[in-house]
Amino acid sequence: MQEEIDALHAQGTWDLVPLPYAKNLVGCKWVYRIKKNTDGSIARHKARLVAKGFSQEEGIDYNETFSPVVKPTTVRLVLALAAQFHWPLRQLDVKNAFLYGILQEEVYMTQPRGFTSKLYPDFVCRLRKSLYGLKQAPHARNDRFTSFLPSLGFQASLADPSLFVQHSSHGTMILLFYIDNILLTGSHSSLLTSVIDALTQEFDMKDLGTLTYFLGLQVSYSSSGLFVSQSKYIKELLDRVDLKYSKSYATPCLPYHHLLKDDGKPYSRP
Amino acid sequence: MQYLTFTCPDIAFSDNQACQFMHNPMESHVVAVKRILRYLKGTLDYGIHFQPGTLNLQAYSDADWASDPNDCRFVSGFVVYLGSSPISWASKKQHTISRSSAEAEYRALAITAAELTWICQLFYDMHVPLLIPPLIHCDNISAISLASNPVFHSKMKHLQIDYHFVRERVIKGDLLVQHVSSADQFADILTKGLSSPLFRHHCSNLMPGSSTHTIVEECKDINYQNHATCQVITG
Repeated sequence: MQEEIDALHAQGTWDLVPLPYAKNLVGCKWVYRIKKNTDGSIARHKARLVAKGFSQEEGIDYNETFSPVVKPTTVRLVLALAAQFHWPLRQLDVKNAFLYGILQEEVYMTQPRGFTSKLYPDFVCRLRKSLYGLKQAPHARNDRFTSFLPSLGFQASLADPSLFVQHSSHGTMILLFYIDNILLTGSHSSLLTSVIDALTQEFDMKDLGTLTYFLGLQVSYSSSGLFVSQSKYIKELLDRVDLKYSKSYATPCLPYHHLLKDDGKPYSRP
Repeated sequence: MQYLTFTCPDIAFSDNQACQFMHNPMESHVVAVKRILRYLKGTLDYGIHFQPGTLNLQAYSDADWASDPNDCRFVSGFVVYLGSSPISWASKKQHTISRSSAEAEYRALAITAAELTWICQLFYDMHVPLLIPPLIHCDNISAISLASNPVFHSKMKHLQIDYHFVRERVIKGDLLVQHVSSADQFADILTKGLSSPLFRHHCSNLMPGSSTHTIVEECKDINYQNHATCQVITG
């Protein structure tokens, strides 16, 4: 918890101020999660401070909430191009991605429990940066990144707003951006390295190296190209619905059979 | 599960069918979903193989006529290849009811053309030049002739204007449309439930992955034997 509070303070997430008259106050709470290693052992206990976004009012506390999401076709097209030209694929992870967004609106939040200021216990936090749970958090975060990338020479694509392209006489570079994951590919690995350096200077990022696992897609490399599958995701899904030991079928549906709207009894969840 | 169509075009159709009832599922629908999951279990190692090849776009577009007994709408499907790698596909129920199969195929062509236009814009944005215009394969001759000349006006005047944007693009030379026999129609798998040999044949075309190579060989024989029946079924 202390770690999270420190990170928030380092970001300058809020100022302590007295609550102005007739302003909406947003609550907050701690969310605890246990992060596990791949073998199931406990890696660390994580605490995250989230704002109660449901108590926000549209038009007063927030305006825009839209944030674009990368389209599957774009991801596949970029992977196909990387395979085509033998471009290296790199992956980056932005730490605390939501906390980078700068808030345009005036939002006031109660002080986090357990960390109330001793000097000013009646004051509230005026948020400067966005926080998990706020309605406008994804929008603010997206704004922050999309306004920074042009300074590195990247241009947003007209066809897909989460695709950024840098094109110069040195070569081409393509950056895909999905919430806190960044997929980067380009004609020269030296270009990639310089962009990764520039990004890590601006944001707290983890360089995950060569792309192997992105959005649940497993990517493996061979001499003849790239192979992408989702077997890990399927396995998890089968585990969840308890079909791990069932027999498999050759086709996903009955041939030339049509599902009817009112066929049989309504399904009741056991 | 919808998210799985990211790398599994083979379940796109069944997924789309099952999803239409998920707001109020009957027992038979849940059985259908379970079947998809059990199919996935057998195809865990399936995926897409991206291989270097020629830099051209090819699409297969198909429609299945009045396949849905609930509202008599067509299901249209398309798959777009870059070289030999599939990059985009969809199985979708059409918005309006078509009066003939040519009309339905033509609507499917329009949907495919729209997707291709979007992909071409992506290429343009990425500064990757496409040397030849994209090519659409369609198994309906009437729809192809519709795309290039307006002879069937009396039967097609009720088609909305925006659907004629395929024709405009063909005339401008931005798009080519070509006939393909039903047996080689890769998008078939996206418009109807197929029998097992036919399904596997199309599946191997959709996902030319390393793990499916054995199936390709196996299917060639099966497909040869079933060629006559295939044509009857899909035609």
